[in-house]
Amino acid sequence: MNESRAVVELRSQWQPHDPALRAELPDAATQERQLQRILYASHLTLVPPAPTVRAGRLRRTIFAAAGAVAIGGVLVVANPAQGPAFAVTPPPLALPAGAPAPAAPVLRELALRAEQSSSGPRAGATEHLKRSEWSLFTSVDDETNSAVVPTLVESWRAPDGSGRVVQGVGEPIVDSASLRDRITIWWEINTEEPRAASYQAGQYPAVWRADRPPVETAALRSWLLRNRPEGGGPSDVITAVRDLVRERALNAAERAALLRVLAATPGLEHTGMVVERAGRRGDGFRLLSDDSASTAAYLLVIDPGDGRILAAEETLLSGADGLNIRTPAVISYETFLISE
Amino acid sequence: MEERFTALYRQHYPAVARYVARRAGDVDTGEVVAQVFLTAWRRFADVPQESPLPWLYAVAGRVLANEIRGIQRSRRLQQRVEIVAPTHDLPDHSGRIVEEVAMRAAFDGLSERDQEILRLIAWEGLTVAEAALVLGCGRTTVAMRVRRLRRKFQHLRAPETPDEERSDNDLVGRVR
Repeated sequence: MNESRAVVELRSQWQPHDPALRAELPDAATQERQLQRILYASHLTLVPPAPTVRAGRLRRTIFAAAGAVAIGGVLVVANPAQGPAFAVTPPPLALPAGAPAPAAPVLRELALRAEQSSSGPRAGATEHLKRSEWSLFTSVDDETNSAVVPTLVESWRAPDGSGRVVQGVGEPIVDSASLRDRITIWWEINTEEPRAASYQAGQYPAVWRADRPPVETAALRSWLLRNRPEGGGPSDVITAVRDLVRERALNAAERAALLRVLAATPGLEHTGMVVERAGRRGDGFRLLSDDSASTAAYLLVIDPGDGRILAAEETLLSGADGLNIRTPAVISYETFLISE
Repeated sequence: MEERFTALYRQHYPAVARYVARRAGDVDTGEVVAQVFLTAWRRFADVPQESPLPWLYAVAGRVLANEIRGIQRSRRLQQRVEIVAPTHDLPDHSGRIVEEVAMRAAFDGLSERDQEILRLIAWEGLTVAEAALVLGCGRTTVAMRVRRLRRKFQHLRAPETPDEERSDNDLVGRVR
């Protein structure tokens, strides 16, 4: 049968505008390396058969397994036994029962302890950081659930702005044993070759590139918010603190200053002791943030001994319209495992 | 089986890579394509041997959807026609730019579904039946939308093109 006229016309009209005409595709050597990885993967573990489901959804299930890994992202898998589907989000950190207390006095006390502690990077040494993190991915497909796969990020940053960042995949959090094995395949494939990037002097990707954080409270607050010209609210301070801890190992004076900035941040509450995802206990500090569309809770967990920020979490309490999540839902977290 | 998969991989890798490049310029194309073919390897018995591309494209669509992350970016795939830089040896330089802008505006004005049908038909070169397979919908639906697309872009075509309408039957079924 001949091509229909409409198809022929559309092709002739639109083919010159194909974005792929100018796209750079992986070269032949890369293609062959990937082929060997794929073939090697078959020896790692057996794939369990896809669950028996209604015919109309079987293909979706297979395809969803295909989309399992975005390295360090959220692994989205169809779960045909359930519906309507909401993205699976990590369980929130448990807060102690009882009313929260004002945060400022506790933070000021922590700042004094931080100043007296000796932990932190040596001046002029390469900073070594490691964190586990996760943030919400919303599938474009209404019929998917998701399982959580955190990212592990480890970095080394030298004083000259050179460095190296390695990303791997953390332990997947899944709610279905039948899916675990298939997820594990992807996990093994991706942890086999963690993504790594090296940077020449001055090229390390960072929000704050060259200078160290100031140790005077007002100066530090301005420094933290300098990239947020429209910001300056309490939630912006929390976000900036998270950004800073993601990219710098702080010395005692810098930690103390950071805690005093937090002490001066209105709305922050002390929740009591919280056990974060790596199992460490710390003082929890929470900020509730309302805007016209949503309510969010920001949580920081701080080491009571030396004032290090151990973990951060953001939870959406309401206003999830357009996201396939059921509130309250954790939408991002970081666990700061190494900072030296 | 390994040999057949290797042949499939080498034959169709470029097409799958272009599929990915057309839809997302800011993802690691190689990584996405690797995920697509890993799935094909795992599910090799399900891959249609005669015409595997629609199956591979459908997998690629799901992999891409999962790859594009972040709350802002993931609500929908923001896909656009890139403006192709005008070639300097073209005789009508300015006309080319005007045409590109017009085409881009026309593409952006389409619904996401119509954009995807246009990509599959015009750029991936699929038949209506194959596009329907990728999209998981009926052939008639795709055929009707193709007709509408043709009519919609009539004004952008050269004036000598006749405006004929064919029956849906011309559009449905394997036409390649």
